[in-house]
Amino acid sequence: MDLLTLSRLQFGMTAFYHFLFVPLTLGLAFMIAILKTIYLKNKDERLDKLAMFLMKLFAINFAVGVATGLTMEFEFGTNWFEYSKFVGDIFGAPLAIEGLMAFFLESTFIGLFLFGKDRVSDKMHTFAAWMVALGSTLSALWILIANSWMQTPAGYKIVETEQGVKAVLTDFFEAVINHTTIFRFLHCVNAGYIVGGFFVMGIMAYYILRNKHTDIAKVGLKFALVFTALVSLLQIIFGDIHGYQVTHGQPLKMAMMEGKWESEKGASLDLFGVINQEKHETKIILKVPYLLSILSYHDPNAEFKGIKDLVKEYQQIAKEAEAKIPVLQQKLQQLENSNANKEEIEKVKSELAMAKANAKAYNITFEDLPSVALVFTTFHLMVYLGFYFVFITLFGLWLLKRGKLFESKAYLWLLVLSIPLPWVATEFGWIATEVGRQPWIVQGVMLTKDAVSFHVGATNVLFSFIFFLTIYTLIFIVFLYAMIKAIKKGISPDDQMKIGRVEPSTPVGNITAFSKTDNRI
Amino acid sequence: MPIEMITTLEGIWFLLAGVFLVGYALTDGFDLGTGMLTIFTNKDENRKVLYNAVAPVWDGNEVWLIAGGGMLFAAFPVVYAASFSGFYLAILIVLWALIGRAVAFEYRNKKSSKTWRNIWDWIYWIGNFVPALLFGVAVGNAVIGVPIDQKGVFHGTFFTLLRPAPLLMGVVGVFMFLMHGTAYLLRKTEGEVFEMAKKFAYISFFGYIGTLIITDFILVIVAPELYNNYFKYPIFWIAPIILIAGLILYFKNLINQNYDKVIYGSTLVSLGTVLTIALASYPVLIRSTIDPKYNLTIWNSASSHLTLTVMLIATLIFMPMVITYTIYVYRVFKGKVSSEGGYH
Repeated sequence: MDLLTLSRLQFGMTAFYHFLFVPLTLGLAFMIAILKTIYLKNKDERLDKLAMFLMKLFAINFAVGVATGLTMEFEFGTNWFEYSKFVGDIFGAPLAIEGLMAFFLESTFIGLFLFGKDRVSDKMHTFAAWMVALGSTLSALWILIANSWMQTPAGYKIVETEQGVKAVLTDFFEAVINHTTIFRFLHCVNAGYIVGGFFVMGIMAYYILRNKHTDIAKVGLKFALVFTALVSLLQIIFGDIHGYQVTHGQPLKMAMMEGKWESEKGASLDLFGVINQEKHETKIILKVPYLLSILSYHDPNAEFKGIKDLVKEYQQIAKEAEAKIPVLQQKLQQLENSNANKEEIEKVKSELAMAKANAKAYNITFEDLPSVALVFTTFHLMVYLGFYFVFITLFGLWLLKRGKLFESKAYLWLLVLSIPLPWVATEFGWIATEVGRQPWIVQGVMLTKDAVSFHVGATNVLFSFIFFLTIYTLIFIVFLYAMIKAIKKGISPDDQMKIGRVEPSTPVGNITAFSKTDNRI
Repeated sequence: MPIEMITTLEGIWFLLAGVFLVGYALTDGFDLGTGMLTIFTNKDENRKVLYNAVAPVWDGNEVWLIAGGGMLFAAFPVVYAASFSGFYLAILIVLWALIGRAVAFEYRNKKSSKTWRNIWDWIYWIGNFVPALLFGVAVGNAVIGVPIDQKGVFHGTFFTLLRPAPLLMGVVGVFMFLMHGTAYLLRKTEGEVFEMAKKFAYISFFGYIGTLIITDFILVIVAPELYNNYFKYPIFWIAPIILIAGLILYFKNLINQNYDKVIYGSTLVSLGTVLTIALASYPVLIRSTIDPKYNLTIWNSASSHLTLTVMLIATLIFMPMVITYTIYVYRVFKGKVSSEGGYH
């Protein structure tokens, strides 16, 4: 395999893996904070015990999330040298602010939250829970700001420097709140809440089925069900708006997600289909007429652009940009000869650099497209799963209202078996959005194939890929083992972790512990 | 003092990069230093004390590295790209070690089996020793110089990085972190771990001085340009003076059995060490051994003024907050720790 494929494979694998832990962190942190807050109000001990139990599961998940997140920050530099140089001026800032504003908050308060319950007041402990939730959410915000900029870049210009071409920030807020940031963020974080919701529902259902901690489990299931129903419904709205934005900001991605090769007036929404990438066609099995045009243009007769026309359009843009280059070069020469002011020269220079970048980046062919079948399939399955989440939670609410929720064994088992599904949906969504934006790493400005670290040998990357795969697999096995063991063990008074203290007057060498229970397993 | 260090954004960011390095050395120094002792005691209780001493704070400590990496990316993208891709395997080895450390914290106590715990303890030890060593090696390579061309592309191999001089700087770093870690343990522990910390405090103190002197002599030969700044800007001498003051304080408190205060010494030593090497290199961030004009300096590798300004504002707002709540959390967990509790 060549360097580019290996580098993409490694980045994709490590991102995929990292994203197994992130959504649960987002969801659980938020749910624990809510539970702790309700507990502060009504002093219902069951809620506190549940929160402590969830916190223990949270801790098992959190460390791996942090460790694998570090990988992501390192990999831009190690494997995407050209990219990092090109976008550092813009892309680095959100990453740095994420660290400063969010990650410090999350990681500092997690210590207080996990180990500090016997050292601070209930209020302070709840505050720590909120800071962890806030930190993880803000963290997601800045990462998605950075990601969104790659998808729909804004607020920048391009300049040539001695070390190569680079994008330079011109308007911070425009770059941050670019075309797709807000709803990409809401859609993604909310997906994390759904993951957390189903995770808690499934565990509570399991306890009810096993007649274990039924008292706490019933409260927990009720809480998680209401929470999950709400966020699942919200997700339909966020998803719809985000999809609308993608249609307008990244039409090629949307065309691939929908499997549309040809442009279509009054486009149908194709529910099932088989993609043939070589022949550029999709065999549609089931479709709803006009729906796609309604969803993406809010007009049943609007034209939905297909992949073929879009590729032609981009080639046209590339040609136009190409044609602009000699004109701009001439203009630059004239300005330099006539001693025009510096600002004007800089402006033309940057227009020229932009034209060069566009001429290169928009010059794409069908060979450059990713697997349309992959984008189409993952996107569709994500959407179907999203509707399944709404359906199953609403059904649960109906059972709850009729007082049958805790008796319906089949439904409870369904909840247990549904635990992994939101993960499938989030990972599929991630694949759809990241594979779907290929061939660009920064849309319209830089192709993924031009972004790699050319001087890092393919053997090095092959070695690191295999090493990553090995340790990640091992960690995952240990993670599953620890998680399942903790869930099976159930809710217990020593869920609360603490750090043993030595009493101040204890003479050296005679250590006595403060805590009541011996926590050595 | 070169006035542009405080009058230009590039200069200010050079200082801020130093702040992040110092922040990392001071906080994660506790983790690295205590973690490197794990395998020197066989008793499970003692090892648990070592974990417990940093368990509530290690996450936050590590963020100094993450935030620092982000800062480097944002403020000096070319330096970030050149070093991370150039030092590819070294960087990934640090990364894998840190991943192992994080996971070891979490999963070590999940089983009481001796083998299980032993394996994690070794992973934890590697996870602290390897980064402690390679950070110094990386800094050493940056200031002594590596073969990079005008585009920042690295033309060496993994072994280029392991030349004797940078490797020796790595060892200096190990002793520096060990001094800090043992000083922390002298405050946080009692009994056998305390006695062990005392022993290693002496070892690291003399190890640090010894390797530092050897490194000094070697640098005179291999990178004499690193001494120029100290002739040019006499005020820079403040950094080595802090370092020496820290050493004196460390040793004085150690022999006077003022164990709670040894940490002030190691704090000054860490601060002094980072500043001494950073100021020696100023304004160069990565030296090129191919041609001095390919040096990556704060002038040719910094981001635009707009980005630097935005980042400066963000730092001025959030850094004081970070420091405040970090101190608060350390205070909540103040006092000596036992082997009870911890991650389980």
